[in-house]
Amino acid sequence: MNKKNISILNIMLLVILLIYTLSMVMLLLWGVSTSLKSVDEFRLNVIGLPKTFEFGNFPFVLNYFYVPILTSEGFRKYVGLSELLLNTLLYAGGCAFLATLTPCIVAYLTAKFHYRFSKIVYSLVLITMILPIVGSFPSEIQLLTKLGIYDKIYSPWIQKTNFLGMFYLVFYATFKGISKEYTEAAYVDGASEMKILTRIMLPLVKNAFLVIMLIKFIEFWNDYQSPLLYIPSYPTLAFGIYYLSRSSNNNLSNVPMRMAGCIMLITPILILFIIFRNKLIGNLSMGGVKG
Amino acid sequence: MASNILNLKINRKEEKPNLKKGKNQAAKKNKSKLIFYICLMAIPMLQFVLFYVGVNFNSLLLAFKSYDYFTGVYSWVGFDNFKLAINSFITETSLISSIKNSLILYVFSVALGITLAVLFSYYIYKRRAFSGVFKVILFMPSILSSVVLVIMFKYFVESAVPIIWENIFNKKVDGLLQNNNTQFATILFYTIWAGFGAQILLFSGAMNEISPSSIEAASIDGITPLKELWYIVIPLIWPTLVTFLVVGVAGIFTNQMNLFSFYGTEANYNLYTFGYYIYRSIKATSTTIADYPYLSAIGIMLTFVSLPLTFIVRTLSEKFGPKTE
Repeated sequence: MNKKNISILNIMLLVILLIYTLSMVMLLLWGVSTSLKSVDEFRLNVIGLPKTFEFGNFPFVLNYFYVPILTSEGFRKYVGLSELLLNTLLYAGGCAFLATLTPCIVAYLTAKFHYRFSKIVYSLVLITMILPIVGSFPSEIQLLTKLGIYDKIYSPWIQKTNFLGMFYLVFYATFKGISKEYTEAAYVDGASEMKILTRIMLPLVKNAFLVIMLIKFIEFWNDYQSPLLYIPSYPTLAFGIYYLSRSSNNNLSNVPMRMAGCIMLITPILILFIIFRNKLIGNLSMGGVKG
Repeated sequence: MASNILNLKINRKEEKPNLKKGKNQAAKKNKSKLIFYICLMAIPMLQFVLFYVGVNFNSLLLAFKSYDYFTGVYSWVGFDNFKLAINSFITETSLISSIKNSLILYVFSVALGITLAVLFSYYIYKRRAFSGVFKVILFMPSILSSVVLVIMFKYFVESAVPIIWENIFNKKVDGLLQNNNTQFATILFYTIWAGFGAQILLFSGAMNEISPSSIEAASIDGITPLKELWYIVIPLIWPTLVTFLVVGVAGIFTNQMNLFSFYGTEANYNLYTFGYYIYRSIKATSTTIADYPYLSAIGIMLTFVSLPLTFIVRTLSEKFGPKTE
């Protein structure tokens, strides 16, 4: 490090960032260490490392973890872990795919087809991004109910088949950056539009597509509020953890068990994050064609 | 976001249609092109019309109606829901504290959150010691489930912090969330602490687009990092910052301050924000569809406040921001 790098600003920032990192690491380690304590030990030993490692907490949570729901017929039903996982995969996987495919296709159409409508769509996205709309949940629930698709496992898929938002802009920039040369030969050979889209264009944006889908997948995996609003009969894992943190009348309502549940929910995402961290926090707008 | 918008502006060069091919063939091609375009555009547009235009229009209509729970019939009631809503803003404790808390949250997340995010991004952009690690750690809260992080944080400040405090200062204290004096500040701290991820990505992304020559020229003049940040980096990423501020205005009215993750539907009234108020109102067990018109009225009123506010913030930040051209 040469002389000009050592300044008060840098040292202060380094200290603040170290404290930040420490707080984050400490919190996660405390969570892991707590999840390995027995309930009795946690009462006496809150901050220390566990004296005996209680690995049994995890299978215990796996076995006794359930969420009660009220079915549309008014019956109480208990949803176990496997069903929670299935709901999560259907919800997060389906929504992530559709919420990535839709802006991708619309961006392709608006970036490469020079109709006036394309420009309108582009402006529409920009306008809706700064237009602050507050509290339209009741209206959305009402509309879903009217269409007969409220509280169905596929209703979020329909809701998320939406192109608005910043990822449309990312795809738009990516498609604009693809030179005409890629498609010219195909057009001369008489390839159909569909073929050009699926054989040439989509493979070119594969990288951006996968990164955005991964971001969306993580977002939906963690999202418990939308499922709670729109598909109350199909609780997801994240909702299960929320329920676990609030419920008081079962044998999981203590801190170590709750921590064990938490650790299990974040582990898959943490693994995904560690594998793809460079892609996820790299510069997305530069992804695209280069890959 | 803004950096992308900027990119687009540069990239928006129109390509001229190829006129060399035969007219007939071209016409046929254009037709099939149009059909393809319409077919693929149809579903997203239908979705947009239903779930954006339709939902918001319905929200507007709903605000002027009332629902009779026993007959199941909606009837027009004019401005009754709005009168009721205005009355609640004056009398209902939860809404009065929502006004206060939402504004405090916005001020803090701008003054403290964005300032720190810019400084951190600058540190990462300059690739100072451990910047790779810091970037990952700062992004961590964005990928971890907010419920999980909240649960860990909650139990940590409730059960571990008092013990640590006692060990160091030899003095007994309450959990930070139990104590009414520290409750709000603790949740506010959490919200800012866990909220750096997206900002860091966008700001350091924008900084990466600064041409090296403008930085180099300054470094020859022996500029200090603080001056470099203030006079060169911030003016050059100003459009990104503005976008963040502008989009953030709507956040005043939608940010839940993680209250639902902390307390479910049972947060104290004095902690409420608008975002929490509206979401909670729908999930509270006492809520029925008969309350939807009133809630829609509140949503619409807040939208009408945030709309001019958004444009004021935009105009101000463009007017008083640094000039780059």
